[in-house]
Amino acid sequence: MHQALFVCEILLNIFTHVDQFPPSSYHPKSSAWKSLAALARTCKRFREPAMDLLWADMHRIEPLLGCVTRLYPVIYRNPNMHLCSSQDIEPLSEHEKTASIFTFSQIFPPINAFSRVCFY
Amino acid sequence: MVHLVTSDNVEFVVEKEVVERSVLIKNMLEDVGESDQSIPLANVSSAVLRKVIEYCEHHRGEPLPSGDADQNQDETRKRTTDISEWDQKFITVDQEMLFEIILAANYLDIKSLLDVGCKTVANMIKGKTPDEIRRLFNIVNDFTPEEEAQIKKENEWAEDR
Repeated sequence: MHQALFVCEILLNIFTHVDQFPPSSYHPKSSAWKSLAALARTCKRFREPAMDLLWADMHRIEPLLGCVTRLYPVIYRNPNMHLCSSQDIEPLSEHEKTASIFTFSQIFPPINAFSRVCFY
Repeated sequence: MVHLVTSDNVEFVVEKEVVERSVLIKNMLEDVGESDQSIPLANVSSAVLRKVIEYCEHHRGEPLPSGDADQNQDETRKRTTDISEWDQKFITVDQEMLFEIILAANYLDIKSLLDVGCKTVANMIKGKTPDEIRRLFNIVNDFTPEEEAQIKKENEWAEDR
């Protein structure tokens, strides 16, 4: 690997350009997302800057719920709590029927703290 | 005229207007004032500096990026969609030279050249799998299979599109 790829500012500059790939016909961000996801799996050095960009602008809750076990230590600081499983989030489907307004902050108030701890 | 000496001890004599596209050198000249003394560039070889000077000569007189944050954001957006025909031709070099130009642009603080180089690398990455990226840039996979699988799982929403 060339030493240029060991310089943080250069890596961030390259990845920022990747993050701005032109939209595809079926999704405005898909080619950028795919490439950043591929970069995150390339090597440990690439992982953090790629993940930072990939997860920076999240408009859906599914990606977060998809890795809920990873969020476990942050969500459940109480050591007496049970490990979070897929069953634990099933009640969300029940409330979904009655909830008219659904925002991140109502479910997980310290969402920004999660992001910082988990992805930075 | 400004005298520059490269890491392999080659001296270049360049017009001030050209060399001042480098913020590093511009600041040096402002600090030191008029002087016939050579500026040593320990991190840049003669082959790379030749290319950098070629770029700076072509772009002489063009406005340098300002420090204004909003304007810089707009400029970044524009830059990411456009590489001029001349810049594309200029940056069509082997991978070693491409990365050396990027390193030199970063060291000399020539933002527009750094962006051209980084955009070119970004375009090389587009559409490639992790394996293909590793092969392209000779990168060792230092993840365990479990670590790699975990990242894939977390980012499944991004890959499955």
